[in-house]
Amino acid sequence: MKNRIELIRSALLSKEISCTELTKKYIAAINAENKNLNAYVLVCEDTALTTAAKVDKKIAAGEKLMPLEGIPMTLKDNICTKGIKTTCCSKMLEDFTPIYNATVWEALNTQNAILLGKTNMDEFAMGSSSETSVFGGSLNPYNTNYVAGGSSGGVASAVGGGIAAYGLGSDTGGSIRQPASFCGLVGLKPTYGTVSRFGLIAYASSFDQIGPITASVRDCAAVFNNLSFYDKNDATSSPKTKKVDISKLNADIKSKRIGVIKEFFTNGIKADVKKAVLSAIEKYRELGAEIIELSMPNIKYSVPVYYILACAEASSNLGRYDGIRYGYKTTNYNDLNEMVCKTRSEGFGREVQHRILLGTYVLSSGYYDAYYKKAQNLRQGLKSAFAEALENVDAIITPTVPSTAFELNFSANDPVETYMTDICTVPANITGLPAVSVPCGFDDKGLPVGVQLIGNYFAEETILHLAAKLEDALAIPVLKGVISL
Amino acid sequence: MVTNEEIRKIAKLAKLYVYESELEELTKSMASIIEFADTINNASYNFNNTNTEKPVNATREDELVPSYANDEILSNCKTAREGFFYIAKSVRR
Repeated sequence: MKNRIELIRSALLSKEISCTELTKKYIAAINAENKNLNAYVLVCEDTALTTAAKVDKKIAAGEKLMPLEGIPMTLKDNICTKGIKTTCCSKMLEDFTPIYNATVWEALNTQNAILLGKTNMDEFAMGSSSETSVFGGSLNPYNTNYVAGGSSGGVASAVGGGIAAYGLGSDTGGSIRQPASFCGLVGLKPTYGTVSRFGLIAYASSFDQIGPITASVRDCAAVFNNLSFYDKNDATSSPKTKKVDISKLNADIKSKRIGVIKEFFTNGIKADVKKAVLSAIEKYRELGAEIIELSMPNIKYSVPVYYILACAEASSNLGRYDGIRYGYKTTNYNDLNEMVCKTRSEGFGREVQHRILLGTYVLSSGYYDAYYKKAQNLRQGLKSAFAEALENVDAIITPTVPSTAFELNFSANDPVETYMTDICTVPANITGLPAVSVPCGFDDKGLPVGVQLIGNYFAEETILHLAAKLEDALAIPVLKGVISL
Repeated sequence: MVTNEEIRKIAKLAKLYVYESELEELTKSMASIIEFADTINNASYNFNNTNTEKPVNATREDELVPSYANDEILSNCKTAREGFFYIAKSVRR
């Protein structure tokens, strides 16, 4: 049974298991499995059990449960939780305790969602393997010689390893979809502005978006529906936000048109990935969808465009870490400038410093027009190209990543080679379009392959509908969870 | 081609220290990343602003709203003194 949320909810309501018993089972599983996966960086046992007791009280009193009430879950460690450490997996924030909740956690906490703990990630969400974390990388539940992906690697490792029913990650250039793909899960990056970013520690504000990583498409829709609403605390929150009608996910897809961007299937894609994605496309054809070939010659520039703009925004956003108000502070210094420079140099890891330097470079006098301004123009060009394509098709299908999970330490070799693995995921962040990754097969090593569906603005229902039909047709099992009810 | 001197200048702007022992390697690594970023200058672009989502300014009334208590604001500060953030002296005679 892939729909864990529905399964747990019905077990709680039928009193097959109490919420406290369920939570204790998860905590025991985390204690047993986390040393293998390094998914959690903080376990919130007391908070989880206190909330579980509240849920049990409601059930005993015959009160109605809210949709995600009593479901054990996790949050990436860049989502602020009041009174619970939020480190961004960086030395810079190793003892930072927020004084407010992120809007997404406020919404789930109000529902008595069971927060099992905070999960591992690349430092400040900068990376594709979660190995830039100050706590070390998260491992892939399919094979621990491989990474769980990044930057939301801890969430994917926990959900894939069955030690959380679902989790929330953040996606700036693919950080939800790529680890979901590597761990055989469903990962949704919603339309920019659909889910509040208030309380998400900023990396690149015009790209960042919070979304769910789940075991199934229907779980994904259920979580999304509880996150998507207008929030006055986020100036980029959109009032056009729509919920997904889960009953419509079963409808047939005979009238649907799916675009295939041919450039994604030429250079750089691994043979096993290409084979699995082409099989998924064939499955859509069998299900009655019309497949339309598209061409976007400029798509090859999406990775450098992304890195220029995201790093420019990061260099500005991370300027706030100066050791004065919060975060790490160096101990030996003579004046304010030395204090700030030493604090930042000692507190940030290597990848973060590289991205700040690149961002500062492209914004500096003499280079602004050649890099930042040109990249902004290309961003608009890519938006237009996708808008035009989506006038003729309901969704665009691509591999989620051109490869399966990387071997441990792959990212240490060549930064540019690692950046290029984001080629399929960054366009959705550049354009702000919604995109979902859903499992579509395995490579010859038994590692999962994911396929990505990109939809029009606020068309989460369309892409989740298509993803659900593929999920049903392929019937790929999720790894056996630690908890089986 | 990025030079050591440029990296020193950029690091100063970014308020990061670059130690001399790391400079060569950092310059080499940054050069490869900047060469990669440079590829966008080969791109030609022509586009029409069709059906893309346009950002909308979010404004609010300029009014007082509840804020956080002083001790909460200072709770993550390493060197708070008498209800203020304490920093090293930055202006000298």
